[in-house]
Amino acid sequence: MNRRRVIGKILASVGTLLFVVVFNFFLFRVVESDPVANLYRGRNLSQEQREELRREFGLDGSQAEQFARYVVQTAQLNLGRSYVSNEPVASEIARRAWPTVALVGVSALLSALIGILIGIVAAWRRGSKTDYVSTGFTMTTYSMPDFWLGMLLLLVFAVGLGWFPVGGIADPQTGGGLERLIDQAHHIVLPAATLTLAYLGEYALIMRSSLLDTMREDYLLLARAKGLRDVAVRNRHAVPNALLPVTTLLAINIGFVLSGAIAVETIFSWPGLGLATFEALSGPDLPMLQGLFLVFSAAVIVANLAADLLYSYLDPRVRTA
Amino acid sequence: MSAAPRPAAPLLAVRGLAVTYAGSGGGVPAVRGVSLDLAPGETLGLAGESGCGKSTLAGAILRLLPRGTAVTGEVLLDGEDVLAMRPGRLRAVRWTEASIVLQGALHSLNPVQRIGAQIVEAIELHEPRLGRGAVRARVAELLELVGIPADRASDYPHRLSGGQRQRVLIALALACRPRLLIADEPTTALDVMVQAQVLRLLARLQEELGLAVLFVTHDLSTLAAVCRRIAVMYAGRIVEEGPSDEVFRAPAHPYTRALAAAFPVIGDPAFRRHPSGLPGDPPDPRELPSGCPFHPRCPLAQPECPDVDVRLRPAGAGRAAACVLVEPA
Repeated sequence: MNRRRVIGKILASVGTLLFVVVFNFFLFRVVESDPVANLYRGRNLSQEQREELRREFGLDGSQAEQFARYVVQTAQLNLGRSYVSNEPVASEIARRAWPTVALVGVSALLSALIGILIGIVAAWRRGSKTDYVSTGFTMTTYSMPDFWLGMLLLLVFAVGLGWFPVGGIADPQTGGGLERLIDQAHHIVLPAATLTLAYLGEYALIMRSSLLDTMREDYLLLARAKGLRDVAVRNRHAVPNALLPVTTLLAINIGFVLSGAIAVETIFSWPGLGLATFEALSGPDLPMLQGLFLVFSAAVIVANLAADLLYSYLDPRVRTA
Repeated sequence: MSAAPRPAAPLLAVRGLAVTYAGSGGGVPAVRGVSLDLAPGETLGLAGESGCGKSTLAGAILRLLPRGTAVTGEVLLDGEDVLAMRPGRLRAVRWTEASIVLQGALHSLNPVQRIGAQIVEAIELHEPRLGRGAVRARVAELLELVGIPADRASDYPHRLSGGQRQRVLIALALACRPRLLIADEPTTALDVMVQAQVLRLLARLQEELGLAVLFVTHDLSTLAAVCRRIAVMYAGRIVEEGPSDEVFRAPAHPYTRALAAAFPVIGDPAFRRHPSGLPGDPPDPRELPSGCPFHPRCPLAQPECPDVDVRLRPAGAGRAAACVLVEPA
């Protein structure tokens, strides 16, 4: 019964993914009827050359033929070729995924960790000065747009103080090995700080309210009556229960942050998927965009599935329901 | 029938306890000067409508009330004042000297921990030198004591029925072999059959283990069945006290009379046609009526009642009541 639920959830996610694949095809067909005409605007192309380009881009034949070809190719992880670089989109995405995974991974973990800790302290000392200060701080960062926060940090710490590089992932002149790793760590500080600050508020606020709800529960009174120290009551009984909604949020956010880093990556010229999206938009590099949309959607779907499975692992009530 | 002679050293002695909750616009006096004694192995029932302060009193004994609540008076547990204890001593006394079965049976267990682990936690906290096997054996013994198979220890609370959860809570309360058990409305959330089961269990355990039990409920009829002595609370004070069968049969205070009459006599057609309830609501502790706080609802109110702050006075052997109509014998 348990296994059936898991399989059901996986199948539902696969179904959603298939829908996205289909939707993606039509979305880009609605956007533009003739990319070749658009891309080679102002150049004199013979009819043969046009036909040749159309075939190269996979735009020949009827809509149904195109769709069939698209489905088969997507199933083979062939996402077409970029209009701009003429590289396969799949390898382009794979190459640019790592910087994003590093940036998003670091900032998602940091924002969750810091946010949760702030939320715990604020809730446990509700109404204290600590609570007011930390809630005020998180409210402020939560309401700041990430691109604005990024520009602010860039201006102050890179342009003004010169503590950190203005952009990019590494200085082209640095050597390899450890030296390169340190250089990359230096480069990641500002974009990661931006994303961390932008996202920790959400965790802090949700953790705070979740813990405040939990603190009214009878089992905490009972834990205190047993003779447990306050800290033990908090860490063993209150926090594990209050963390449940936050874990879901974290899993879902990781899915969204992949695509949500577009603005921050663009500001810091971080060569990840977000910057790739920005570049593809200005092309417009339709196959690249199509591929990116697919990857972003897949990330959200997978993250949702992970959240679902994780929640049922953490909460025994969901497991058997 | 005469009351048993009172042992000299009470296990629990509450002296002039007053509890005022912090509230916006002044404190809320929930308990206003309560004194009571409970001898080792004795059962005392504490009855009253919701809001009369009985649960507050139960919580005050182990200092479980919210921060900012003003508690004055003395709570002597085995001669030691709980209210004056340092935090470390208080934590050591909790669960080993006195434990509590909380009101909300369905929400008093941590939903993400196995019930066995929740019992183990209490034992390991207070008896850290006990070996793992001994702890496990104690958990099994406790669960079987309350009629739950020992292998259910690995179940999560939501797998148990309401009655089972309540029995787990009782087992949990007995984990460190306390001498005093405070049972705060232990049967309120349960259906009638399960209520009877839990009551029988409590009575049996009380007898087998020689527990002193402070039994808090609004249900006077259950008290009469389980407790030898009862105290009736109204508006933060005890208004009547005595052996339960006598208090139940011949109440001295008009409030006790109304409370006793409010419970249906099963099978009595007269009661079905004229159920006797108590008119009005319990008073708001922030705006207590002057004099005897019961006088606005009292069918026997005298002209002097709004002015006389009447205290408990003797009302027969081992009995006391706070009413101007009670003449000292």
